[in-house]
Amino acid sequence: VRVSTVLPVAVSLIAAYMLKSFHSRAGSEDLGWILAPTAAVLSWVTDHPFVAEPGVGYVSRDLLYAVVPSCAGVNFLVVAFVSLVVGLAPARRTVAGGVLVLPAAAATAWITTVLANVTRLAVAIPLHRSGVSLGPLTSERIHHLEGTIVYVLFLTTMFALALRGSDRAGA
Amino acid sequence: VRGPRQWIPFAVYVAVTVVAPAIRGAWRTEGFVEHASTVIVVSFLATVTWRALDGRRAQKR
Repeated sequence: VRVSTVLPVAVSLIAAYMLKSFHSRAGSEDLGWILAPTAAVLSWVTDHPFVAEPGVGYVSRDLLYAVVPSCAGVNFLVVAFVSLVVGLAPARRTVAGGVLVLPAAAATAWITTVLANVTRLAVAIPLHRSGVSLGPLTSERIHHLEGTIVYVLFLTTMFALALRGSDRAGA
Repeated sequence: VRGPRQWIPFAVYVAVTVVAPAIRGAWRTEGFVEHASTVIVVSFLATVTWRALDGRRAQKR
């Protein structure tokens, strides 16, 4: 076991714990760094403005939909960040190389989280408005299933591309 | 890319969204089993599909 692997993985786990702990207490203003870009891109994708509402999040009065702290995707961000660090750090041969994985993984995880959030919400809004349900699949279950599928697809694709890029760079 | 590394996102996703909340007592709440089942099944299927697609690509080379 090398320091170039253990150090970044340990730092990523501590950061993940701190982020989860922060998220459990955070309000919409505290999560502006992830909610604001999500709302901005979502406004562009849906062509309906999502406006900041103090204490709530980002609200679209046209769509009657709010992007609230539970939509921030912080769990996904944590999963994406830790997965990237655990997957990429072992290929680094030096401690500096291992440590450099941290900011690269953080930036990649943040961008992927915003894109995954927007995709999940862009699909969820019409589903919510139509109130669709299929037998035992209530609209709430469909919303959860849709969110999980979108997050898993983004996570798997991000990780596959990152591993391929890392393997090519190391080859 | 093929190998045990492909299971990393699955393992981390299940650890963060199922195992950690369960340890903190979420397993007692209504809907947790359904949430856990959805997360595990969907992420397992995604990983298996990725491995299959990757294997097919490797065979073609």
